[in-house]
Amino acid sequence: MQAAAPTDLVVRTCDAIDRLVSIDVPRRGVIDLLYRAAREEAGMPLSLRAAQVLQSGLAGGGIAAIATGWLDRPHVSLNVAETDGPPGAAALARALHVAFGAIPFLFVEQQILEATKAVVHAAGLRCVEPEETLAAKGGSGALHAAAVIALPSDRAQAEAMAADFLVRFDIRAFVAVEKGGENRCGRIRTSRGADTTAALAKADALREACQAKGIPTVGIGDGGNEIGMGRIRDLVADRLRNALGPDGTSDDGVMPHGKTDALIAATVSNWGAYGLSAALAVMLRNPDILHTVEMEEAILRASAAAGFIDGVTGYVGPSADGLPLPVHLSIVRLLRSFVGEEVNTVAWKKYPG
Amino acid sequence: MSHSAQDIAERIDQLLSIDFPDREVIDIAYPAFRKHYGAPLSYLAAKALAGVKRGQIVFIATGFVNRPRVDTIIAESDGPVGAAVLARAVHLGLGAVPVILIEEQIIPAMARILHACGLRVLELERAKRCADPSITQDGVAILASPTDWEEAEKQAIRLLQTEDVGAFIAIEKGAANPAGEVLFSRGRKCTPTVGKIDPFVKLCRDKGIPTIGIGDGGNEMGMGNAGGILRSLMKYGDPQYNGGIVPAQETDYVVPVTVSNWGGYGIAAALAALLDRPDLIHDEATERRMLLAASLEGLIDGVTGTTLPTSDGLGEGVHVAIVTMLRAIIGVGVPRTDWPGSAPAG
Repeated sequence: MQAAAPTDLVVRTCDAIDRLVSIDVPRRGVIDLLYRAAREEAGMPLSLRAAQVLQSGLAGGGIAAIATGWLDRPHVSLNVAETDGPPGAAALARALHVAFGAIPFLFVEQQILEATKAVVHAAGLRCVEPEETLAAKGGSGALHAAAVIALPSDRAQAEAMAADFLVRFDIRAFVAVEKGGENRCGRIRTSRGADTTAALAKADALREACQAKGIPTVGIGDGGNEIGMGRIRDLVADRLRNALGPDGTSDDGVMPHGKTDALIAATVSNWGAYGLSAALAVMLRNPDILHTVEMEEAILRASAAAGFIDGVTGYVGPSADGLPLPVHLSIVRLLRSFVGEEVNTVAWKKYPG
Repeated sequence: MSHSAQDIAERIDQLLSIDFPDREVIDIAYPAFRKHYGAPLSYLAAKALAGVKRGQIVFIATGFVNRPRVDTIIAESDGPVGAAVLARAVHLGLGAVPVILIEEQIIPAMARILHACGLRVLELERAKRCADPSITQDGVAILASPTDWEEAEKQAIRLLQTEDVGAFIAIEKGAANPAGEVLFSRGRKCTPTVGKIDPFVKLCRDKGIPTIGIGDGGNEMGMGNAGGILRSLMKYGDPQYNGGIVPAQETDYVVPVTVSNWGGYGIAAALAALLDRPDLIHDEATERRMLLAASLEGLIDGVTGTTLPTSDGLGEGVHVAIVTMLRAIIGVGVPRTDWPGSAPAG
């Protein structure tokens, strides 16, 4: 299905969405660099580009593969993961289901399988077995289903699983939300430059398998080391800390090697996913695609209840990247103004002033 | 410290210039002025205010009578709320004496909003006493702003002779175009109903008193800056519309924003960053209280014409969210983190 060219209003609104989700609220000092490079590379709002890429794959429905999860205290326990990623993935899962009737399959580390299900449930989708999701489409009682699946941290096993899933299921899009990406040497690094390859699910194996079949891919990140950032590696590697490895090249630095079809660079990866949901809502003129402020609170509280930690503070709580709950609720509140909630754009258009 | 305040102000500007209502003005006005001044605009305004000394007066002009064809008692909630936030910030942060200039019929509404913001409205001489740090009282004065040009000029001359003035701020205040007419943002005349502050701004500039304009439509004091650059950039800047909406009189600094109230919040937030005084930005509860006070006093949403606690077509939740974001941007409730991965210095 050929998508219609976006109107000026859609482009303007998506630019505004981009600007909101790329404000460096936590003073991390990297998003300006990443966003500007990505915006220049894309030549259009990042949220719109990603929305178009997903529409190209999912317009007729099908399965959306969403990889997320970051085990970020591996020196303590592989069971500890952060709140940035799963909430965004869950909100986006819901958005893709509402927008296209897609069935979301979330791929995470085995250790956070149950925790992620709790977050997806807070977003309104019922997690069932992958095969069972297919039955949810028909039948007499409505069920908005999703599946959460353990993706191996072993590269070969991940490749085998990806190949198997692509044969068994009608996967039509791939999105990574705050998911460590492999550099040219095959290593995944934290933004501090530490090697964290062993702990993480090998989502790049799934990305590669999807791309080999021509399935569109999107990456969402906030630090430069996530899947998706490969699109701007050559543009920023000389300016992003830890982007260059010991040999002075980016081969073994923090930035991934592989390229997705679209990249969203945002202040907090969750916000990138929310911005993408908002862009889909604007593009398809359906406000329901973007989750509500109430859902956002439910999602973040479910994350905390499931044991996810704020990766910055190290506390379990309804916060992400050091920013407390009200900030995330405000972001969703402001994004909802772009889909017509609490804003009277019509009055502005006819304002005699 | 000041470099980091400038950094923070960059984020303040980014937030406050997002075109939530799709009005298609701010994406023209902000880049034009930003390019001209070369630094975050909320930062430049805050820096000018930071030079105000304890006990000096900061005039804050606001008020827009915007349904004159119905009744000149009708004025909008955009402007007075931001003015109250600025009054609070200059009083608490600088020990200045805030004095609001507003059309006479809007004084009761303005007073109620100031009270909701925590400042007691007092006679000017009594408000001055509140600058004494040994006195535990937050005070503010309100003066009627004459709509008659001559009277307005006389008032300005008199106040500048008798008072020690530290700064002059205009927020959402109509100002005269080169033809001497004050216009609404889409070119209709509203000259007779507007309190005239143009002579006051000119006299302040003559005396070297810093002047700041805050606007969102192109027709407000401050939007004529940079040699009237908006005249050729904005549709209604064209002289064919009753001489064009862009004012003739310039101010030293301008803060163009999506909603003028937000410009007041943004300057207060930038001042909070500059002085390392997070308390200078109001909180969410105060925001709700002020919007409610405006509503109860009959101020309208200038876009929709309702007296509900909205402003410029945006709901209460949006304004409260803006306050939450500003507070987070200046670091309230956000742990200072040694983030890795930032771009190397220089």
